[in-house]
Amino acid sequence: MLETLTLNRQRSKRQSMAIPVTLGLLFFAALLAMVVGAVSLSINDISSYISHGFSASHSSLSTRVLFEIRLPRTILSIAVGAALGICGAAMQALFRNPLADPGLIGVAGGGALGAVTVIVLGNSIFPQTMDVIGLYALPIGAMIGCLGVCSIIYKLSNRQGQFTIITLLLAGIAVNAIVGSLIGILTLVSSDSELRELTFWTMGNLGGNSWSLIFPVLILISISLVGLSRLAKPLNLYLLGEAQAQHLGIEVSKLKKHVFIYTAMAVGAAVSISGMIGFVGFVVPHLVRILIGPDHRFLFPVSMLLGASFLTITDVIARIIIIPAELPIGLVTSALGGPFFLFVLYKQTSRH
Amino acid sequence: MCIDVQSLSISIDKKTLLDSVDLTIRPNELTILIGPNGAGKSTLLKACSGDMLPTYGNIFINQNPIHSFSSVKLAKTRAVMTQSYEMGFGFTVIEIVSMGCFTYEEQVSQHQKREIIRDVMNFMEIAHLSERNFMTLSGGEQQRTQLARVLAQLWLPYEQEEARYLFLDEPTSSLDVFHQYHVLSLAQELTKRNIGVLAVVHDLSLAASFADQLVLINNGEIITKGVPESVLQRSHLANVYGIKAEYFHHSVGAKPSVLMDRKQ
Repeated sequence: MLETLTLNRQRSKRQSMAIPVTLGLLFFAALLAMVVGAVSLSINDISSYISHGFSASHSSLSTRVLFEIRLPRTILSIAVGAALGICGAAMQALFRNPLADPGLIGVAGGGALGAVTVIVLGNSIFPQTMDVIGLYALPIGAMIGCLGVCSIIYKLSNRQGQFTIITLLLAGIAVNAIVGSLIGILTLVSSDSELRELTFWTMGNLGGNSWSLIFPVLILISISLVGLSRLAKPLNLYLLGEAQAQHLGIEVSKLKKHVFIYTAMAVGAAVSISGMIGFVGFVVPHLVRILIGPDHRFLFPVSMLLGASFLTITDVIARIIIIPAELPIGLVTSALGGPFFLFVLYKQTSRH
Repeated sequence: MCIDVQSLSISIDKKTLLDSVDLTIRPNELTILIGPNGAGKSTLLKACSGDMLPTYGNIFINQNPIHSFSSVKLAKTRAVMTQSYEMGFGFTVIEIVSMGCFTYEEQVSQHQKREIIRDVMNFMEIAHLSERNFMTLSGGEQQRTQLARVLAQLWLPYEQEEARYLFLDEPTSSLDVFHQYHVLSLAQELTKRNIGVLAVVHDLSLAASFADQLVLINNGEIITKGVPESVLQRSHLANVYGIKAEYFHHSVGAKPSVLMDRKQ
């Protein structure tokens, strides 16, 4: 009893510490991501390149590595990590259940269906289109898949303006099952090389994206991160229960719809460019909640920063562990995140 | 200024929950609903607080039809304590209570807000629990915490002519005897601040002790309403509850109670 008391007194102290600490961690992670790799750059190199800015001609190998490979990749890992972290927290709030995950609203399934369709059917059905859009085909396909599946689930749960969570959950499970079987059928008719490409897509990869691919993703993710952050306080009240939040003056249906749309947008954008990166959206908010409590005004920014740091660091590990090849990042996030989460959980329960 | 319920009927799936109910809830009164399980008490309370729409009839809050209120305006006019509440996340007691200040948070200073929270927590005697995790509290402590949150919503006596209302659905169900009386005394106290209180209470003696207006409901209809003495007549108790009992008020110095006959 006394222990819980002192634990909770620490909470407000931890809340005020958490943002500076995770911000520092993110800075360190970003720096690490720029320095480490097959071509090694020193911190001095990087600071001089960056102070000369983008205007300088990027002719030498090391400036090209920095500006065309590492910088975009690091920015992407920060954006995707932040999106997965905050959206995980938002889904857990929406379902009022700490086990919820963006996959429930069809983002992952939809993205996979879109990607698989492009990989397996793209060249045979729309050869001209594939020639024109080339590299963009896979992300565009995945994004269309996300949007399609999410809007079907949204439509099914939104009857007469009432957006009920139980319908959302059930519709999500049913639609995900249908999507899963479609993916299965496409996998069945795929060739060996297509199967390999598709398998790697489902394990996630942050590499090989140009600035022109990253920019639209950054915009979509930024819009939804700002949107979600503004919902932090209403979501706290929402955790009291839907009726209770309504009594306190929250328009609950509207709140739920906004959370759904922002999450679909951010995770959809992330999945479309990086493939499926599991576990971050689930484990990061959980960890943060154990440390600083469930208040979304702190949970959201800290999950965002921690998600970004975690993904950036795991991406560095994925890049360097089997140089010159790369591990799919989804493998690393689960392989590292799983044991770490178990460790925290075990410490947490053994304390009581 | 009052809540005016006019020939209100509510039915769901052809089952009639309320059948042409007329009731006036005045701001300077404590109105208590009594009746057996499934009589329609909670339905009536939900309709008056804006949670359920009337199938027929009208509800006016301070002369305005209830459907014309936005959720923010409604939140500034009334607070509701529901029968049950779920909380799967480990908020502390003080975090939960402070959520009650949501509607006026921007109009008051941090200092004022802290004072309001301190006041309601002292009132519900949960100040010593303020740093505890809500999920680890006992049922009665949880109920007192939620009550403190609901009170915080109406605590700020901001300059307004409009009467406000408090709805309590079985607020005493998990409380010990002391806190049962405490909560209803508080409700009585609030009626002096231009707040009308509508409460559902099962304990007839408790209801008889505090109600300004007692309303007896059965099968979705109001059987009778008025002062406790007239409502708690032998015949009414026998017809509605099927018990043989008597309203009994020993002296001015004692609270009234309902006594059951030895032979039922």
